Amino acid sequence: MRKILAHAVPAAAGIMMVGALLESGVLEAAPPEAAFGQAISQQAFALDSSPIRPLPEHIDLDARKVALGDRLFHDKRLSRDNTIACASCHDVSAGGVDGLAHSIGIGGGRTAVNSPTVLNSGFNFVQFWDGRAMTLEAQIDGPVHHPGEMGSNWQQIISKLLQDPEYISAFDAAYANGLQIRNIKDAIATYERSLVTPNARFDRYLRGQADAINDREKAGYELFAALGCISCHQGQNVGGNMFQKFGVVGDYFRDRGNITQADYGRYNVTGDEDDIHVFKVPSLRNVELTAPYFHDGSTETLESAVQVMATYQLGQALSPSKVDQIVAFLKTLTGEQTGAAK
Amino acid sequence: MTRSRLIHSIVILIAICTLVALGFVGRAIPAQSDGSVEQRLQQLVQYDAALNGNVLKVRSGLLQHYDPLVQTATSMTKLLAELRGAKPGNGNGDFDQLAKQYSQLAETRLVMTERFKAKNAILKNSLFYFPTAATLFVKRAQEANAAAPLSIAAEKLLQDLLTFYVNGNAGLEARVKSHLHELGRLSDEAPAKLERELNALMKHASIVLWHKKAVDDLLRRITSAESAAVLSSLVHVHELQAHERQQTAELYRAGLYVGITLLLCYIAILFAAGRRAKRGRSPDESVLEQRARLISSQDAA
Repeated sequence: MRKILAHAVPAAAGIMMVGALLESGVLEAAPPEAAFGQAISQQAFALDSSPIRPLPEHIDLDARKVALGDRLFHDKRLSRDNTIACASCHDVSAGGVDGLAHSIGIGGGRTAVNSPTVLNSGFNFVQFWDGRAMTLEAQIDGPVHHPGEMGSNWQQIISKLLQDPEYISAFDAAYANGLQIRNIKDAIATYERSLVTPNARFDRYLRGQADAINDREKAGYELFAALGCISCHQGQNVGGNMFQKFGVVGDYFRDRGNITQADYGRYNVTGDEDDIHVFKVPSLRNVELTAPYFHDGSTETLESAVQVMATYQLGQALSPSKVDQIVAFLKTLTGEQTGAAK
Repeated sequence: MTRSRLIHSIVILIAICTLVALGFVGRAIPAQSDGSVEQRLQQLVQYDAALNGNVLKVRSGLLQHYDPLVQTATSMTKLLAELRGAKPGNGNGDFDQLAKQYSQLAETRLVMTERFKAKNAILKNSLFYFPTAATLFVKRAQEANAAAPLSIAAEKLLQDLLTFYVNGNAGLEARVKSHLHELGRLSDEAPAKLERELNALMKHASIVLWHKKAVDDLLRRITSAESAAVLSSLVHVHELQAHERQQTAELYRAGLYVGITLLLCYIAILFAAGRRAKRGRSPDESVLEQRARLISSQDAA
């Protein structure tokens, strides 16, 4: 016992000393340097003078989830009567749209607004024309539940997918908790994030390849910037990062007539009168492939769309040659349909 | 086992149980103030500052696109949601109240930031186009032999509006309004073919006039110190809470160490007392004890 005591007492004292030192912080590792203040100052004062930025050439995503999302995106079982898939309105082989002014839902019904492109939608700051979904995952609920679009619900979808052993094994492989509503949304959103169209000619021009666009296209870009289009269509998605009123200078809706609930735009979400006719500024990437244009799909050609924008957003009347120059520039924004986009 | 041994054993057992409990409670306290809340608060401080920085950069023309603003706003929204879900106050009324107050302020700032982005885009567009529109109008007015006051009013409008845009002088604002009024009055006398140019000129001038004020007002409200002050208080309260928890944990640990020492001393004293008792007994007493045991065993046989 004396031997035990002879060891135990110093050990207890040692423990107490180590404890005291730990409490005092002497033995703790030095605190990480508060680098964020430095980072902020660097970020805050770094000049970023380019209004349009190139898309990333590669995005790291889980290939299993992308493949699963691809399958779900094209699966008509997500609709109540197994007739409509996400891809029905967002054809990734055709600019991510269906080419219709108003898409066709279950039972032949028409959507209230034009289907926006799914390509590069991961770069949009919100989803839908009125921005009512903050994320791609949240957006999926919209068409799935809408009675005129897919008219389904998650219970129905889960029960259909559970009958497919391939889905069960694919979900088990990609997700720890297998086939769940949350994972279906995640897989589809991951697939949508993979639909990036990099290396547009204008992106290559921005990266320093001077001959990637010709003189006419350069003149179109200069005009695009000088006229003020670039005030809203900027950033890496050339839009998709802000809301704007449709009809800043002129009254588009009065001139078009037949105003619908959907024409109220963001007001339908916020109820704020300042948001009447306010919409998410659409991305102009691949715009030559995404006709017809605007939330109402009212404009068939890119030339007409440029004229409408000049009239109602900029208060300017453009000559046909200027319109052609701008259209030539806009066509340089068509990127490679890589990744899962075919 | 004698009665006294039983009592000592129970005392030691109770002491060990108490020390184990102290150890567990002491270890559990720091776990309540895990680093995630502190990390989120630090990130919020960072994003709060970045939002101000990016808005100012956009307004001053140092940033030509809104992607950094969007990234900051998205990160802030996500963090605010996480913070609400984490219930970091642990029932602390001050912290919860400040967190709620900051959350409301931050959400208002984010809504204002969206308005700022839209109005700033309109302002920039009109500001860039306005000189062209004024020059075009003056040229067309001269070509159409329009009355000189029209061109003069347009030129004055151009000069005063651009100066007003730079310095926001209230006197200049009144003059710009006066020029607009004058142009409106003269428009009745203007040739019909000038109507479109004149309307465009006046429209863009009005946009610059009103949107500059609106954008500057939004900028002032977004970058007001209120939000940063509340966030700073929030961080301070969290640090105080963490400090209090740390002190409590230290108290438990000190109690644990003192308890261990006392227990060891108690055991040592018991051990020493037992040895002393054994050594203190005389040989005769031992012989008598042996005899007594022998007799009692014989009696039993």
